[in-house]
Amino acid sequence: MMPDFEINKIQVDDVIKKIKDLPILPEVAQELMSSLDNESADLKKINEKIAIDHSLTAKILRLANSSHFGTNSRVVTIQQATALLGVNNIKNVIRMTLMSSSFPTPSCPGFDFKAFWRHSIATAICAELISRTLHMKHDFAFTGGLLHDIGRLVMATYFPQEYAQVIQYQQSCDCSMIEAERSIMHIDHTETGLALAQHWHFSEAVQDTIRGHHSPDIYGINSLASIVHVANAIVHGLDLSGEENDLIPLLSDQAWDTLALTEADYKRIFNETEMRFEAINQILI
Amino acid sequence: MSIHSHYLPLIKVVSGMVLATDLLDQQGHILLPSGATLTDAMLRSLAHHEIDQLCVVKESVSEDEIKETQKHQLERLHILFRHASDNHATTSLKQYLQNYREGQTL
Repeated sequence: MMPDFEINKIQVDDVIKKIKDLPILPEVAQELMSSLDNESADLKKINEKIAIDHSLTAKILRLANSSHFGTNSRVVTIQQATALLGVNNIKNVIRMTLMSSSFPTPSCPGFDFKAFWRHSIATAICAELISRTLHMKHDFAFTGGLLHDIGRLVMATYFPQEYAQVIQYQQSCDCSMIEAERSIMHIDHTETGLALAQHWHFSEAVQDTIRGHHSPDIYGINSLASIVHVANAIVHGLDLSGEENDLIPLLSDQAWDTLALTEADYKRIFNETEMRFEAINQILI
Repeated sequence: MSIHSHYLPLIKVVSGMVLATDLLDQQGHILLPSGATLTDAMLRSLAHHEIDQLCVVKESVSEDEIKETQKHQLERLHILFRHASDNHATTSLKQYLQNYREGQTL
């Protein structure tokens, strides 16, 4: 019994140490991230910050000029793009870009970065739609959905060999990722994600989402965890990650009942998730 | 999204096109059922419902292809739920997804 425990302890400490060695989120990114979640954020200021980042500007203009938004004239400035896409779409593009540019592409064998990215974006879109349906603050929902699995990225990036074993184990016994992580590394992506979220000073709601998206019934946890928990299951069910061996995760009755959505609500959420995902997919992924 | 339907901004939808999915309002009420052939009068009235795009059937797709896609999506659904537990949340989600997939195509 003891040796197992010892291994476990070393692994957890190792991961935490690696995370502490990570650079903190660049100042501009951190500032943008927190000002984005502030509903009253001044769009003019956000526009000014976007303009500093050329790759961000290019992405937003590409999205605005995509056929999905159906404009006949070319959009050439951030101001025009904001008017066309709406503040919310702009904020979401910034969030997605921040997330992808904060990590190097992991060199972990077997880790499907594209599928990870597709799943994160689709969950963000779906969580936002659920929170809108419930008339809650949806800005946090998008961020929470986008970042819920960030712990997997931490593990694949900083423990590529160990995580490759996790992926192999998952494939050979056809179990969930979280089970495979616990079996091989004795730590799972909710724990590594939370450590990162604390290190990067993410909002408490987002921290709770990362920690609780597989266990939304933890006492006192932010209700956003339930929303992202259900959004996560929906996105797996809609087959949006494109992963051949994808699996529906455990879905909590309590979280499902708390949302109390009707079949008609879900039907609209399924439909809009697919539609919005398709539009973003063409531009960003 | 799929080979048999696509989203078009309202300004590019013309009468005679066929709606590929039920069109719902914000409350989830059906404004127009899937399969409806759109008329100019319908399109004018939609402009008042804050709807800016519609999912319409692509004309070049054959019925066989539509059935093929639907069959594939339903098979995938069973694969994705292969180890799912039978608690009521999971069962409901699967049922809703199945109804959604079955109702999606004409």
